[in-house]
Amino acid sequence: MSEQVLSQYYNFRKKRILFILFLLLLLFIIIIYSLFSGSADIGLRDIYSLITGTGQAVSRQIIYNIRLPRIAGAFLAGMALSVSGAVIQSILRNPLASPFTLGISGASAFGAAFAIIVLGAGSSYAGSNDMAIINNPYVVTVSAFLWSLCSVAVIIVLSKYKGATPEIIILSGIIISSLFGAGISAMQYFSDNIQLASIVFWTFGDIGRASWNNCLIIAVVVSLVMVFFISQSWNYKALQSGDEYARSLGVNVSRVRLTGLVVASLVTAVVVSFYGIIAFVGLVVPHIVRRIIGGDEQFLIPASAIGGGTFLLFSDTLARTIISPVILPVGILTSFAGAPLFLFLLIKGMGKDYWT
Amino acid sequence: MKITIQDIEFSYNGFPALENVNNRIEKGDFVALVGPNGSGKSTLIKCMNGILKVSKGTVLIDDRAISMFSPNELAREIAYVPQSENRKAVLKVFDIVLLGRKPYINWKPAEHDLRVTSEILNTLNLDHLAMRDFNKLSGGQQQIVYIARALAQEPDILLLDEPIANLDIRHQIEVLNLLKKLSARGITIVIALHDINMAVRYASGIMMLRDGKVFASGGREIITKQNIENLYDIRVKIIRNDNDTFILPEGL
Repeated sequence: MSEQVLSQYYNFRKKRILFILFLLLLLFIIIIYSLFSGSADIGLRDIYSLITGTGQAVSRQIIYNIRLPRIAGAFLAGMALSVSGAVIQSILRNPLASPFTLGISGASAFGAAFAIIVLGAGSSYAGSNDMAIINNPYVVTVSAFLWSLCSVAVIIVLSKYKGATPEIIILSGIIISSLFGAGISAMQYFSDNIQLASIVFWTFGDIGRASWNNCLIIAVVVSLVMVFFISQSWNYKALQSGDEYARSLGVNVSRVRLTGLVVASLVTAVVVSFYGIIAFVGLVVPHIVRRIIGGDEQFLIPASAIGGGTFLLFSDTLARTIISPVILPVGILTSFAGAPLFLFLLIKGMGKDYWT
Repeated sequence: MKITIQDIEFSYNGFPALENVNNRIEKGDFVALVGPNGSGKSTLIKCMNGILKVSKGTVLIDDRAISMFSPNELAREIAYVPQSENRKAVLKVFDIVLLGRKPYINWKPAEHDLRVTSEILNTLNLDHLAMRDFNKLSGGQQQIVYIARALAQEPDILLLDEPIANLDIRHQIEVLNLLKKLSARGITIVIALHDINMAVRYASGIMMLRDGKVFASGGREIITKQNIENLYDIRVKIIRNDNDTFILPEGL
């Protein structure tokens, strides 16, 4: 009889692995689609000449220096946001948690505003198309990152010295967000029109800022973070059953929770500093994945990562093409698509034992 | 494995919850902790496996202090069954029981872990539930799954916190019969119980706690009218019939 149970379980596990493979296939299709859609007319017919290097130089430029880094950036950013969301939801045992729960978005937006206004990184220069320009993006990125570390530091201090429960961590995240929100308002009040436009422009999450350089940095960070999260997946699984039970399984609860939060926050901070605030990916994608393959972190973590990357790449491709030649910042699209999607999931899930 | 509780003390924010608790529990014993609400039963259980850190004294497992065990080592010796869990994520019963293998798992469960899990499900007649969503089981079934999960740790000591408090009488007997069988196999059982009649019927040893102190400890001989009345501040009648003892509450 126990053989039968075992084979049932193997089958069940196979289904979850198949889902991950399906996501990879979907990703591959979207990459191909994304590579050949956009304002410049480069079709599938050009693929041969691109690979062999015989095609037009302009096409090659567009593919290698604009579309490919953008595809890589969208995938990596989606992966980072979604996997952070999945992990934070698990370790805080809260379905509403996301990478931004801990105040990262507010803190990094404040950092960007600080760089633009106080450090003068967004000069009073408007491009020919009246678009605000951030003339020193590196200062803005570094400042956004450093300020988002502040919100991470608050969490570390709270957990370390007060042994904060998930509820306290979530509430303090809300407070940090509103505090930085007030800071941003104050900065905006004292800024001129162009600076104001620069700040607002920065906060729109936009993968258009992707370059091979920032992709490389994000890729290194995301890879390390993925290894870390996968190595911790059984600890997160134990935390789902409550702190006391997890402790009885030999899990160092406060250390596992703290390191998980810090690592998830750091990778989010890296993505946000480069690309701005991209909402809903970290909230919606882990929810959909949980719905399909259940709450087992061993599968949830890789599936959320690939699912998030695929979702953001799809959204960004849509954002590039939906009202072409105008390219929308993807953050606007994910919020538009994410909010109704989330509401739909909630209504559909009502009365079910799903994150009850 | 034998457990020695040496003079332990524990307090919640300065409020003493356990004081001068001493006891020795031999291998294969089935010890029931009884006492009124707030007497320290759950706290004592949590101190015995290090979920709570005692402020004074030690708990020894086979003469080795639990603080000398690594967390995984300790989790392989002692398993804990909580009273209830506020579980959010939906998992299959198999996955819940597999979680008990955590002290043996690093990155992912080995073939052996899956095999142990399926054997335990089989031994406890849970085969038909293995692939069901845990949240959809009845309270009684969930409790048995918790015990299965604890057994997946392959422990020598099983600590249970009020495992039958929410169960109907049939499931209560099912759980206690199962524990009795396990203790006969040499697993030491320590269980917090509200139902003193069940404690008398199943346990080989009884430890009475009141206000965080050991009120009385020993075998069935400590079940006297005077002890029970003083322990709970009520009036009781004790009926002894052949080998059975029944405690009937009479009033306040």
